[in-house]
Amino acid sequence: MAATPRVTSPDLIAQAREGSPEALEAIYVQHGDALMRLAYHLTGSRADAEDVLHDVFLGLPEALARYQERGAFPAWLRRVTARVALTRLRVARRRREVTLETAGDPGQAPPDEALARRGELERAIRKLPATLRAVFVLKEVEGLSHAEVAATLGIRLGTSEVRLHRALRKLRAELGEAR
Amino acid sequence: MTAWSDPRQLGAPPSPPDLIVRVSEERARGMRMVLPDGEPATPRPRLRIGVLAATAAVLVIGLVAVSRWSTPQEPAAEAAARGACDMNTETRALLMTGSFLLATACAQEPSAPYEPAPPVRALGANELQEGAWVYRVGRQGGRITYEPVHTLERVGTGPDAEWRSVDVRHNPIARGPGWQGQLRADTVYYAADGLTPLRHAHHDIRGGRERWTLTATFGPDSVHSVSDYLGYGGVPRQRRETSAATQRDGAPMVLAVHDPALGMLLRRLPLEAGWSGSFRVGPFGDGWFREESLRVDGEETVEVPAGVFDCWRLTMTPPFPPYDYRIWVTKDGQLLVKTLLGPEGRALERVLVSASPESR
Repeated sequence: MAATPRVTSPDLIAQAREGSPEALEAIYVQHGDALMRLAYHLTGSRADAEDVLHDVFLGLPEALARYQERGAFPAWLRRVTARVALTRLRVARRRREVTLETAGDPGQAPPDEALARRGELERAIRKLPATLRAVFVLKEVEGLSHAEVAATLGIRLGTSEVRLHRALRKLRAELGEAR
Repeated sequence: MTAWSDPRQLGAPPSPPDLIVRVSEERARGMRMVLPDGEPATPRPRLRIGVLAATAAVLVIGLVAVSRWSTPQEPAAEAAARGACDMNTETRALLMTGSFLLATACAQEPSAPYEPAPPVRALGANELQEGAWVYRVGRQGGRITYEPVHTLERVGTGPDAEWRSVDVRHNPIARGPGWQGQLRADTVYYAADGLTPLRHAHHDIRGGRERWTLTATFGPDSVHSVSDYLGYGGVPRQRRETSAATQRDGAPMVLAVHDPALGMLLRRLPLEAGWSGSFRVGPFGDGWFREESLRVDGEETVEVPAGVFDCWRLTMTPPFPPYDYRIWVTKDGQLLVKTLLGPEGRALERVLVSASPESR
């Protein structure tokens, strides 16, 4: 999908709110890849990430009716996506059905060391408990501030900092063992 | 941090381009999803909420107990005589559905710009024909999204034999464990006159598991629907029952169960140049209907895989643009051969691939 500027006009949002398929598609083209990346890192599975994206866009027009346009639209969309993904994780955890895909094709060796390290990191992130993974992904992968992470997850700023600290400690231990 | 410390460089699969096609198609069929709020959240003071909830529960129980103890119970017959009533099915359904969904349904039912089409019971003059029709649906110039097969047959014997319409749609490009083997099926039974719906069952199967069922039972003046999202992909099970009137202002409305009944309705309408009419389509996932307006725009010869046909070109306009559906039906027999949803060039297109018996 071609990279497009992530400016979503109020007109487009208004059309999407009315259920216009063209407006929904335009928003999907603008934000789909970013949301897919977020959902993928939060759920740890491509199939789950696709389902999250599907659900978000299936309910987007009705959800936009509650969008108060107080903040930036991409941030609002990211919070909705993160919350759908986290709800999905919570339910799956209750059912003990969490299935995490292995990164890449195990039959193929990564072409270089950087990719190998990236693969190790992805595997280690998937092993984190969901609460720690959510904070790590939003803060370190998505680049949100602790305040934004706290607002997205409905936790205190201090809690976000503590969880990130724990996530990093676990990742260091995991990656240390992996080497 | 060490060499692994650049998480922002982590890759992710791209968003699948056909996902939004599936979403548009499902939204056009009335499927919806209730999403969490996207506004910034404040931390939940768990203890305080727990204490408040417990206090509220104690207060409510206390109030109910006091009112029951102090107020004599009114006999049901007397209550009915003065107009009071138990919570009826509709009220329960509305409460279950919630004000959000109610608002959605109301917002999507403005009045139609055309006169109502003739009631379905008046459309019985032309006999329907048994047969099977294969369609292909996909974005123009893109891949096939799904392949619907529609069959129509008489079940039972004698003049009261019902019509059974079965519409099965297989999605050949669905991927992943949540989607693989996606299959959706609608079975609708119609009265012997051919267009009065009696029962409707919708099944949505993904990854070998049934995900959503919708059953509707039609009475003379109302329809009762049971929608059951069986819970998948992190979404908890949601079961809703709704009842909707099929009359408005005392006059019976033209009624059709959406897709596949649209094709049957089109075959029975008295189409001619300049004709227009409106009808209600539904019930959708939450038991609501929507008003559709239909007009004949002109005549056109269209070529589809099943052949070349002289057609009426129609536009169906739902209450909220730009959902305009462009429809082509044969002038001879009014068989649905092509539909377009969306802007020309990248619209969602349905074309007739084959018909049995072969259509002229």
